[in-house]
Amino acid sequence: MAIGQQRVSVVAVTMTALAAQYPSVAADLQAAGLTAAEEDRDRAAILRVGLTHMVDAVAGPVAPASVLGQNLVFRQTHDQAFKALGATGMWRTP
Amino acid sequence: MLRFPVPHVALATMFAAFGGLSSVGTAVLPAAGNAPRVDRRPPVRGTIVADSTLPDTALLVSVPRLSVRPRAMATGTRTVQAGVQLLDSLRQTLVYVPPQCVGTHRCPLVVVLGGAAIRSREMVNPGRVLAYRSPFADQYGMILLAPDAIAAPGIWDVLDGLSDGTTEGSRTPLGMRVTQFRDADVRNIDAALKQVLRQFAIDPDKIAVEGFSNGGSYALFLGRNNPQVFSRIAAVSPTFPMEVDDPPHTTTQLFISGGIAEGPSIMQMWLRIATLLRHEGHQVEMVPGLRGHVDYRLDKDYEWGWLAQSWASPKSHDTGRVAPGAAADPILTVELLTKMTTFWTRFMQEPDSVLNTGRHSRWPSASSGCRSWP
Repeated sequence: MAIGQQRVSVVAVTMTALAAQYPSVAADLQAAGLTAAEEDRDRAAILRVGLTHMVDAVAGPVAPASVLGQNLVFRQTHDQAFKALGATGMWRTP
Repeated sequence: MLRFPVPHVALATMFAAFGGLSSVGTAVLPAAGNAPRVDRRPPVRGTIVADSTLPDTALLVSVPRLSVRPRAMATGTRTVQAGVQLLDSLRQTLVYVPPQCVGTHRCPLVVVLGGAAIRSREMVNPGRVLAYRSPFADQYGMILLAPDAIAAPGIWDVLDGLSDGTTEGSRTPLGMRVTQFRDADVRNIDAALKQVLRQFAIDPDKIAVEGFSNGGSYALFLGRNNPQVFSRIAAVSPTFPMEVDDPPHTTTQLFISGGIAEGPSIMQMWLRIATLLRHEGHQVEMVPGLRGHVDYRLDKDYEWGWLAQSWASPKSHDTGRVAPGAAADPILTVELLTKMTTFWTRFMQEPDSVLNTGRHSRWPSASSGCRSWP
């Protein structure tokens, strides 16, 4: 995935595969109002904006009008919501 | 060559601490200093430069390069025996040979370096380091060389670390304070490499150095100072950025990884190193890990897979830069975050059997069909 202008590799669980294997995971997704594909996509977006926010200038300039630029603004104005999400442990495991 | 800003006060502190090293190289200080010069070998500057948040931990040292020359010294033509072998009983240097490397086939060699522990040798214990990595050697057919850290108790010789008073084990790497550099490990590894090249059938073009934490820092340090020896460097959660006077080249490929949960300063540090190396022309695989300062076995799958793949099919020049706006991300909203928080709260309550399957499915395999994110 891209962080700013730098390409990085993030090895992460594919929720689509896991939900297909475990009905309880599919139920967790349903209870949250997400499809597995949406979870994979949204998690990648949240990670991308989080990493870009974290490393800032190292990543290179981000166009303000881009999706990442808009998400960065959202990240900066919703810090508590991101902390609550991180507190679930999603960035440590699996 | 990478250069990081070095606080002047830190240089002064370092210089005072550095006075003891004189027999093997040259301490080099910028114009402001009066560096001692003992030129018994060609001077090679290497700098361990702390982050700006570490105003007292910079170290500027001279590091002797390895004298081993793999292409000329890889005289071993047959590997006789599989398993763990004691190379040097005095220094507790171990070698691990996977079964498929027995015979005349020349195998890649990986120098493996454990992480540091201030008061214990356990983290760098060669037996422990080998036990953790031997499954990858078996999987990919690589011979492992595990030297012990002999310069200081439990750490590699780029650090003579002092605790900052916080609890051992729970401290972040930023808690270490560099006080002194020694070169005993450089010499020890040099001798061990020569011996391995004589005794085992090694592919001289496929020698790597890899390590975790302090071992990752040392892998960067040793690898970048010796491009004639190491064609691959893998540093996992390196603890200190380092500046070295590596000769201009772009032949060495690097793998640099840090844990997201290690914190922003660590992430910025290693991403900065990786980015600057890319600017120099090196191919660098940058891997933010979903972990803290932990050497997860499953993350090592990716690392060792990269090692094998990069040797098997070297890429053409790749800057690692991507076109802006390439990702098809959604616009983030409060509703989206709420849904994700709800899901992950529930998901983390799944039994270990499910979570472990998730962990195992992180790396592409025939059974999982999973992949790394594009």
